[in-house]
Amino acid sequence: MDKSVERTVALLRKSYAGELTAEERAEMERLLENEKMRQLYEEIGDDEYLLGEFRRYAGWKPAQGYRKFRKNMRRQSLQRNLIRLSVAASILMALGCIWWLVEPDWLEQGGKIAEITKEPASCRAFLQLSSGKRIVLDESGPMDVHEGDGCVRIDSGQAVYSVGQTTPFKAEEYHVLYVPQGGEYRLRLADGTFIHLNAGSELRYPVAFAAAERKVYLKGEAWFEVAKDTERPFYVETDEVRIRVYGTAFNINTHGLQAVETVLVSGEIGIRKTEGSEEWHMHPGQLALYDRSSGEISFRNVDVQKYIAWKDGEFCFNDDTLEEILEELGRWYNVTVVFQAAEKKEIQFSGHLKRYENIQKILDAITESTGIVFEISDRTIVVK
Amino acid sequence: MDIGRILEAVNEKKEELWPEVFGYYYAALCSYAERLVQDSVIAEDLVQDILLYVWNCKRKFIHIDELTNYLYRATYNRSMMWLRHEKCKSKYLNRLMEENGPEFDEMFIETIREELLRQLFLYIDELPSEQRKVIQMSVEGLTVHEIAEKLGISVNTVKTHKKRSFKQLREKMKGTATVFWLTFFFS
Repeated sequence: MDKSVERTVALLRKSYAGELTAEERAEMERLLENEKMRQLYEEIGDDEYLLGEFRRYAGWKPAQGYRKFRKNMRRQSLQRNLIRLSVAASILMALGCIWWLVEPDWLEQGGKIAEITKEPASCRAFLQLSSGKRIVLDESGPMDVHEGDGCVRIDSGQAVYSVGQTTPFKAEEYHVLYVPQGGEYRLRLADGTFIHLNAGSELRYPVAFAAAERKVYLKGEAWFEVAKDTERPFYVETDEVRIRVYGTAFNINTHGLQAVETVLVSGEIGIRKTEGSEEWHMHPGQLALYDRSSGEISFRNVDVQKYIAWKDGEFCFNDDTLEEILEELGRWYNVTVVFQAAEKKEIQFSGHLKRYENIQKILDAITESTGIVFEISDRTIVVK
Repeated sequence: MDIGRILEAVNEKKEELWPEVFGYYYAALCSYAERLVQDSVIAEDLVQDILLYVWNCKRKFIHIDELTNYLYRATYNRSMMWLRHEKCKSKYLNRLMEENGPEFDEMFIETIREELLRQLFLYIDELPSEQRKVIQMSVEGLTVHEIAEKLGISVNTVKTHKKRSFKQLREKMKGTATVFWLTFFFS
């Protein structure tokens, strides 16, 4: 079928007007072989159907839509002005962070730390076996789980898979590793691939890989160091994009509100939309952004450190908005964030922070440099 | 309405021309989104988001078809994202998810439908005055008799006008008029 909307529309209209050339008539016939297209053609040809659709159209008044649009636009430009103001704040923030890193004991002298309750994430996760059974993974001592062809050794925040040498490969059995908010977990798959899952993420993978390819399914954020195997390509699938790996290290983050971010640190990967067929090759140092609203993928050269700092136990913010920052902190410390004033979401910050610090320290540092007040109760942070 | 002005509004960020962008696309995009999300309020919100996004983005559209395609595509993607997010049990979504192959064709055909309707709806304003009034009143829900009475013409004339108008809308060729006008429902 011809995939050009404007050409097909023009062809249909010519057909209604009875102005098709012989060639176009043949094209039209081919088009109408599709049952849905035939139905559409008949419906548009029916006066009553058109009247019904026009009534629906009349329900969306362009003038009202435009007024709403103007309102949204004004709200947005107000936020812009706040962001401009916040540039100064973000410089202060950076200075504040440096001071605070140099003076690590600074907060301990304050009175506030007594009531600190939000401890950062630790190595907590759940492993779901192919039988459906769930195991809680924590920092407790070594434990072996045997299933099918494989064996998993779980020890100190890491699960390591190995495949029995003697048993022949049977059907693929899948495990799912769930890392809740406030957790993280490391994993070594049967082929030697190393994966570090960030908080609020989920990975589904076979206990032992098939002969033809290696495929895993990801929701959330993970760092991959894929073991080289030219015989069996490695795929990472997400709801939005599909990555083909040619032996490499990279990070994928599907948490983003605007975009799914894929960063390549070394080696080579190919990326495509889950629903598309075109594949783009990425080079080290490149960031691929899958835009959630347009559905397009764009590429940029970036400082990869910002995107992978989390795996080395750091937060690295660089002109990120408060909304993005608190969302990430929320995932890591397992707290919910509530903005009382929506315009504060757009304020931008930069700075390096230690991931294993207490959240109160991080929030105090932000308050100290910007004056934004946070109220913490139970597992909720309210931005005043 | 001039197509050039639509492109100018979008590419040059001319706010004063944006009412025309709304006249040109708004109802069609809302309708398109509503078919997907099955909720007219959500549909309107999604379309507002997209148009605000277009207002902010730096992308330039060289041809009107490029912009039209982009808007349908963005509406489709936004709607699917919303559905996924809501884990809505919508039949439509399930069907799309189950069959991997035909989903693109289906989306394509739905886009054709919307674009045809959009163009036909816009052309109402180009009909001769009496015919246009008949169609507008029919859309408002008036019966043939009520229209005949209001316009002081016979019922048969109304019926003929209606029939002829729909035929003309369908047969009007895109491209024969590069400039066309639209009534805004400023109230």
